[in-house]
Amino acid sequence: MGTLKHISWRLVNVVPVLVVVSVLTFVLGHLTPGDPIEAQFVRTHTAEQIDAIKLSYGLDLPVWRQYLNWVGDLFTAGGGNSIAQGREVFSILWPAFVNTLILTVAGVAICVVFGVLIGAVAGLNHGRLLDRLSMLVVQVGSNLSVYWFGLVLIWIFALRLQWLPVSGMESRGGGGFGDLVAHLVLPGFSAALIAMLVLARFTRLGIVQESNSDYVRTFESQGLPRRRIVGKHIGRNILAPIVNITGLEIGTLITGVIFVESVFNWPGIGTQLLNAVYGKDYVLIQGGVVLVAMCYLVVNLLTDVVVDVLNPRLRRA
Amino acid sequence: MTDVASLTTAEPAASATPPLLSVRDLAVEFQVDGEVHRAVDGIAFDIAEGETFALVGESGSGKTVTASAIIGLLPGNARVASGSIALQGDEILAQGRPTAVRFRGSRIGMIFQNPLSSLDPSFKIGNQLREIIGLHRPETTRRQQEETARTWLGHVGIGDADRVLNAYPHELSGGMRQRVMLALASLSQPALLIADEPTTSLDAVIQQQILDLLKSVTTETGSSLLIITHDFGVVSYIADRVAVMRAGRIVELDERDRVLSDPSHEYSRSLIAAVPEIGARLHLRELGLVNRLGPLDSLPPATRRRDVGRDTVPRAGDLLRLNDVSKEFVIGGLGTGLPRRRFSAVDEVSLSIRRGEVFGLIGESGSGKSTLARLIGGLHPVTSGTIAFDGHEIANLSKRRLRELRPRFQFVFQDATSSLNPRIRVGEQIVRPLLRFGKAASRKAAAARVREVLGLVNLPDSYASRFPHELSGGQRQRIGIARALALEPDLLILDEPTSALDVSTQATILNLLLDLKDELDLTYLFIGHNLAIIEFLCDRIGVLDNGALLETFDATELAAAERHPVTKALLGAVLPIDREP
Repeated sequence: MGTLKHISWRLVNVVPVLVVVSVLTFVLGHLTPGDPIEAQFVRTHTAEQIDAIKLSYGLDLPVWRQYLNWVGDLFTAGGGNSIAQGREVFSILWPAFVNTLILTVAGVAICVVFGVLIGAVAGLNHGRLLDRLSMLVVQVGSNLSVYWFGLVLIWIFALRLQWLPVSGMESRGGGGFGDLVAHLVLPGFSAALIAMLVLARFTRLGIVQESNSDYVRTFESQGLPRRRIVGKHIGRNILAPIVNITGLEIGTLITGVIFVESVFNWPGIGTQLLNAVYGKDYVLIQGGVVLVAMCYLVVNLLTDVVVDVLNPRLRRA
Repeated sequence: MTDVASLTTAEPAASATPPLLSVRDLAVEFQVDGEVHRAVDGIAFDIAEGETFALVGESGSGKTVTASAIIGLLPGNARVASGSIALQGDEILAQGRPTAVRFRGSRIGMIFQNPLSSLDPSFKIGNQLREIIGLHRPETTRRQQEETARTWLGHVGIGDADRVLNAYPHELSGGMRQRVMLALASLSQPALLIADEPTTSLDAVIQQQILDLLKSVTTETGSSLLIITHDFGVVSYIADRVAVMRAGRIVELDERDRVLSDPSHEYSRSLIAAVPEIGARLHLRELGLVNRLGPLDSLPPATRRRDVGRDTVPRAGDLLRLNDVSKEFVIGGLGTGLPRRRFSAVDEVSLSIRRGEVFGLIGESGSGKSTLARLIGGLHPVTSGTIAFDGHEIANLSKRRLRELRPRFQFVFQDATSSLNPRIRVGEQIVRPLLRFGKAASRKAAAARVREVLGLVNLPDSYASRFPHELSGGQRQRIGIARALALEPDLLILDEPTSALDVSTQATILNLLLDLKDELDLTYLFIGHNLAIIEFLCDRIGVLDNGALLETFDATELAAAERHPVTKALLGAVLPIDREP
């Protein structure tokens, strides 16, 4: 009961956040210098014609009317029409968004599996050589840039070893699921790198802290095997922080994905948005930003709910 | 008579039967920053079957390390340098690690100081009990384990076993959790039960219940009990024999009655004398000695009239007067997922504190005593009622007016460590409020005042340039007192200032407080949960229970027949040191 109320309250909270996001996006879009219509038509059309086009897009209206029109379009007209492509923004973005989602999910999976693994190995060997080595790797890795790391991966695995495809999402003519996975490995790793190392660090810290806790001592004093203490008690108690950090890191990861897409030529929303920026297509940019912001909110909401469910103190009251 | 040299190698045989546990020449070393530090330095003792053996000492004496060595839970940077520990003739130390693990739980059980964190917060009590039962008896079914768990909760005096089995640790009180811990450690019927300060963090009334349970459960299982404590009241209540530890060595080991009535070692004597006891003040007065803690022959005679406690006539007039003071907190509400409800922490409390007296406020944890102190100190706004300090109403005063009054009532908090800023030198921490409240005209004047107050609390000037972590617990509490005194307050609010300190440190701090009060004409509001300290220190006592002030009375009338049942329960829960041989 308490949890359900809690969740609905969180949901209600999403609304004002969305309003703020939409206002900010809109304002930013309009603050950028340059006029998309003029940029596109100034050589081919007369001033009257350009004004007529602006009129048809409603660009002559006061800014607040433009904002309201745009918000209305978000709900009813697929986010309005792209200035450069003339089609509904969401119908342009949707296929790209699905591709981005695929890459993000792959990134999250890599991040969680390897992050927890590295963290657990380091934490369970706290203070020993293995711990120090993994932490050194984590230290160094945290300072790599996504761009550079992606290029190095391509150079090693695609060019030198030729194990994996260089870029893109599928081989020419399509190749099914296995082909998709092969294409996902390198961009997935590049996107996951930073988040994975942060997660590893927190997992290690969680294990070290829980290992020193009083309840672990209780079970040790009863002779419970180490394996069981780690697997059941420590594992259960670091689950909530792991979920929490993962949720936060997905945000970082989405940002990273947008860069990774351009390095690996992945046909995702990042590529679309980059093109939109070049064309000053701010209707498309705004639509894309709102979409990404929605992802953040959904992830945060899910994280909060899962963390609450994992915490017995909040489960009933 | 046992002398120290013989204790390190062999204990005189207590009886003909072989001991249950035999510790010989045990030394444990810690490696800290490349330096080797001996925490336990060649100790020896035996525990007979069915015996309750107490290991007494102050923090750092090595008593917990000894227990950890016995159960094989020494931290990673510690190692047994020499010696032997034999349980029922089996050497524990010589065994490989797997065997030592097998000893745990099945033959040695242990309960710990902090019951609040000693159970896994994420699993229900039933789950944790079943897990341990299944570990010791793998052949049992889930249903049998559940039944055993229920039986054992009954053994430790838990009536509503079903509720407890289905509860998470945070849903139980500290006392209940310690009962569960006792069940957890005893259900395998170990030959030896180790209890490491099992009641230190519990209220006095609960403490006695837990000690009674320890007795009854070990009698039932036939276990011997090794109890580790710093409290001679606990020793007197439960132990058969006692070893007093200091700096890694046992300085005295004997029958309880002998140690308590006629301690042979200087250190044991001073430790026992440092314990405040009910009636000690009266006793000192009859002997014509000054009202301070310590061995009787070290106390000077009372020369001035006010040296003798209780006879001081507080000057007329109330310094502080509370009228129907209430404080409610709101819990839950919009956005928390919890229903919004009001929780009354302090409920229509009226009392007055006279100028120059020591007023003691006693209550169990959760009784609202700290909240009341904060209200008086103007740290929380009151919900209703009035608080008058020296004629000024402070309950709902503007921030500015309150600021002007603030230097006149100062706090000394329980946790001296966390109430000092760890990154600022202690001298500077005393200087800042002086400048801020305009009590010192210049930095130079403030520094002079710091030297003055450090002198008052018996610390050398040089300590002003130290950081809090460079001081011991007792020294930090002195700094806390110095900081409060620097502002020349009329009223000092002492919120359990000694409950985190060792017995001997506590005694010196309490003596210091008594000295300062005489010297500086202070008024104290002393908050505590230990009635013996309150009785020793205070002129009048107020008893707080569930936010309500049950009664106030003169400290001499503590034993009077008309006392409230709660007061009587608190008095009954004080474990006296039985000195009669």
